[in-house]
Amino acid sequence: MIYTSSNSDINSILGTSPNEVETKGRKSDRVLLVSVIFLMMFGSLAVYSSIAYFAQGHGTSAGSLVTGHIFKLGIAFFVMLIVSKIDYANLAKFSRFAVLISWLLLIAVMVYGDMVFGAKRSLSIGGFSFQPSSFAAVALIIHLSVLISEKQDYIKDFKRSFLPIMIWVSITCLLIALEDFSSAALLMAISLFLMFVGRMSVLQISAIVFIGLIGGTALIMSTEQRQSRVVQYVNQITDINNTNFESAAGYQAQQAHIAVAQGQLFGVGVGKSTQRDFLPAPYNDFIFAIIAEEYGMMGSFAVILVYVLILFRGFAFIARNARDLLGTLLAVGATLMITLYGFVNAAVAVGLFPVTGLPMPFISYGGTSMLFAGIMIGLLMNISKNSRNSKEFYIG
Amino acid sequence: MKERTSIMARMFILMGLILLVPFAILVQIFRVNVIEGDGLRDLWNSQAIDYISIPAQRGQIYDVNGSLLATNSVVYKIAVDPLFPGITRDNLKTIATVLSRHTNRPTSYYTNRISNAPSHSRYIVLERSITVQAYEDIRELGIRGVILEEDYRRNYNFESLSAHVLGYVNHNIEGMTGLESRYNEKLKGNAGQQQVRRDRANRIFSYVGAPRKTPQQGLSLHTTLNSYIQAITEEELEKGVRNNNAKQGTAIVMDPRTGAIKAMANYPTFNPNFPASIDAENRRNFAVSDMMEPGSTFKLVTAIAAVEQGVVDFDEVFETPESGTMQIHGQWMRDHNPLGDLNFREVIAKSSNIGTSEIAMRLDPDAYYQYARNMGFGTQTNIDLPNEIGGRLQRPYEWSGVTLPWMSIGYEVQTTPIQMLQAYGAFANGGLMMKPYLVSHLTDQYGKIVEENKPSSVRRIAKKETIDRLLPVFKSVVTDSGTAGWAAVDGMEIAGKTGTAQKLVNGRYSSSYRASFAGFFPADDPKYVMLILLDEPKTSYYGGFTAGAVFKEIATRIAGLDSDVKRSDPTERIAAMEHKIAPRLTGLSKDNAGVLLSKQNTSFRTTGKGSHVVQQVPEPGEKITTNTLVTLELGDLNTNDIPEGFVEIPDLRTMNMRQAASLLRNKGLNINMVGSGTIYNQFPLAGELMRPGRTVTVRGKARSMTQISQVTHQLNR
Repeated sequence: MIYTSSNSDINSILGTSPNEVETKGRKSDRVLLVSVIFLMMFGSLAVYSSIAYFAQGHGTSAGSLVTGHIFKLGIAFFVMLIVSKIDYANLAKFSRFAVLISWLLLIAVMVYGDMVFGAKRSLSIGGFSFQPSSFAAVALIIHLSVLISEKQDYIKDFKRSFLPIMIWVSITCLLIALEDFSSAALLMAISLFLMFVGRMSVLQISAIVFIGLIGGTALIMSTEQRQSRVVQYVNQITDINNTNFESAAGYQAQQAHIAVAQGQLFGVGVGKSTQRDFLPAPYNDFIFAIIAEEYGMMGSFAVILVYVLILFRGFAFIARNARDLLGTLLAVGATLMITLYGFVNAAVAVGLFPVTGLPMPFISYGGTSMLFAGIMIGLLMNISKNSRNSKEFYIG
Repeated sequence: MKERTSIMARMFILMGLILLVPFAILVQIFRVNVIEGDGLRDLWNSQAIDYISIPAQRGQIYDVNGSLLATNSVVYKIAVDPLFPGITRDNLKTIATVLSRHTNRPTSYYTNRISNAPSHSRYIVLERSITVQAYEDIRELGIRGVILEEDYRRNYNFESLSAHVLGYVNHNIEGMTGLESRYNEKLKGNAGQQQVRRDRANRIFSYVGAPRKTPQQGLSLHTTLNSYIQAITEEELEKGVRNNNAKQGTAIVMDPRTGAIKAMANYPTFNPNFPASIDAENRRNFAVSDMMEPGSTFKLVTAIAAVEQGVVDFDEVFETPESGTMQIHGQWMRDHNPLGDLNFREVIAKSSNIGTSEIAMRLDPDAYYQYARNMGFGTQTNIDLPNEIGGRLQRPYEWSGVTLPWMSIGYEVQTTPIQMLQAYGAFANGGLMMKPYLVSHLTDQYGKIVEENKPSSVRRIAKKETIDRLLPVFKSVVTDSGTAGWAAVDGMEIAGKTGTAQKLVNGRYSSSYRASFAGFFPADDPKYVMLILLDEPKTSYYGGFTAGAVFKEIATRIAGLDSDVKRSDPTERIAAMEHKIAPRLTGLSKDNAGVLLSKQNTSFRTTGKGSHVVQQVPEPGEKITTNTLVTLELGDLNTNDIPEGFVEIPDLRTMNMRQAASLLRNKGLNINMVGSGTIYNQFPLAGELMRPGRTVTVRGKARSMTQISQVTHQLNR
């Protein structure tokens, strides 16, 4: 009704008048909440099983690391609940500054960051390790939603809408790409998806995709090492059993395959994974392979379906029923942030995508990403709480 | 409305596109699990699963009384990984120092071993077996990179005892010779397996519930060896080899009734705990893996064949030339001495080559060959020892004109000691040949009998009657008139045959010999058959003198050990003989003397004329037999010859002390005995007159044991 108001007032589209919709007493999306809790519990088990090797190497026990993990999950859950209480319209007001701060942090991390796996990705602040790229991604998605909904009237204009939006997106993605290419690429994709949903010109978006493809091909052709990685990637999809690897990534992909194959229908059993000893970072990048091994096809299908449920819930209920365009875009962005990370991680683990270092939201071990995944879910819950339609959309 | 519709449309298009990703993931999961699953799971098996073997304990070896001849003990092996992270030069030095304290090797020995190892070597064995104390000390150091492994070691408790029979194992505890090799598969058992997991650093770790196959422990051997007899045999063989300065010696003792080997020895021997400490040549078991021309011991074949075929008469006289040599088909055959005229018994007893070959040449070559073959020559005995050879027995069509006579005396044929023993065993067992064997049964770790080797007969080599007829012949070998007087044991009947074979060196008979003796006892109910073989004895090459003496020593000691083998008591022996002593007849009337002698069932003749006996032959007190003719010289007794109050001193020489004492006492004289045994000297001399009450001094000397035994055997004969 907001979009269809007769005067089609920009304010109504921007949704700056929350009082138009009655939201009192409404509850946030319970399906989402249950899904997240399910993922967190499943993730904790998988982390416990797979982190022993890492713990041994760092002079600590799997138990204490998992306790830390659960503690962080608790913080994420708490943050999620807080965010769900704050009206997203208020959040939107600070998005511009959040992006600017994220840029500063990304520059800071390049200078002061801790080296982890050959890349500087995290900052230590008061004993806590913090990844600015996660923060930057969240900030960008929120700010992008705000920009797109602000520029709805001239959304297909190149100069007034596409260019400024692309500047925000490009700078953030570039800064992230310097240290973490795959995260940047995924963020770029989410941004483009969001721009597509926000009615921006398909032609302009296509141009970006085209440029990206050209640039990517050029990048691949530039060195033999990259070429061999592509060959390896093709091999790993077409010839799963081949043991001649072009690169270390091929070995990892195969170990992940073996883990998945070990699982069969019901898995080898809780905590009985053997492939955790062969996979790098089994508690993070390859945690889905461990789940597939320990819980079999039943377990891995369940996890994928939970992410599909979140996707479905986020798009078909929360985004569709958001009280304004900002809510819709924020919901789409947040849903994509959660589900695409999950899907990409799973796709890497089953060998569909080339090996990247993306975490699986609420499942992987690691603090910062979980915190921002919590913020994303909190945002979704807040949007669902402030949706314009009646209870019938909500369960519980 | 248009904008919203557009947004919604785009949103759902996006959702549809994105849903392709999870769909693809689900398909891929299915593909990896189901379509490509088997290949990947095989990969998993090859990389993550490994099996370590759990060694099975090697079976023990027991003798017939249950003494442990071979067993196992745990030893510790120490190795180092000098590239292990965190291990330092000082660490290695400490290890070397601690180790050298326990092994008496210099520290530098170990440090050199480490520094001389190939580079990048991550497993350098420092010591294959260290003591528990050393093991504990090294472990206490707590240095990472030290590899301590438990290992089994084979222990031969009695060191060199029965070394050649038992054999030895290599450092992988695999049997190399002897029973260890023959029964290696049975002794070894089957190693168990433990499934372990490997991680990507190739570290092995076991886990709870891992499939495990328990090792099947090796079977234990229960041999027929008797370690007492074995020890005796080895000791006496060694003595024999040393006394005769021989190169080498072999002795085997077997029970002819079953074929059970009681002892088998070679000298020089070795300690199987340290097999490398002696030449490989001395680790060979000559008893089964050495063949040679046997010499006269082979005459058994000739004797059996000739008697059974009826080509020889026991009363027949064989004339051997005065020179002791005879030409047969242009080749000279020699006897060790010119032996003159011999009957069949003497041909064997005195081991006449000429006589034997004469007998053999009456036989059909095929028949002779068949007898030799039947007695096991030319084929393996199939004793349960490795590396047995079958000897060499030419077939008749391969023979030359002189093969038969020469084969009949043990040349042109090659036999192993065990074959010869088997043949004599068959002879001892009344003609039934038994297969020699060493292991009576095998038991598993719980003592349950898994496999049993029952005594098995090979075949009958001759009729019982033939054997019975031949037994006295072979008994007579072991007498003074035979060639094996040296093998005779006092009070026990032994049958056997000596052998002296000139060794064929590079195709020519050399001046070195092999002396042997094969025999069995007790001759009438044989319980032991034994073969003694001395290679190149330097003292005498006669088998009877060298090997026979060893046989005698072993037989004597076995008889002392085995209550079933009775040596007759000396007093019984005397009682058993028809033993009479010539009575004192001088001074008696002719009639009285006649009555006395006829009472004793002794015939006599008289010479001279008179009423009384004045002299007699044999002298009073001498031993006489039934067919001894006593000669009495008659004369008139002149009592005046001896003055009143005097007595004549009798001739006491050759009497024993007791006889002398009673004789003197009867005459009223006292006796002063110096020494004991047979009197050889007296004072005053015989014929002198003395008053009663005076003392006669006699000196006695014990006759040597050999003289006694000679006498005994002469009597036996």
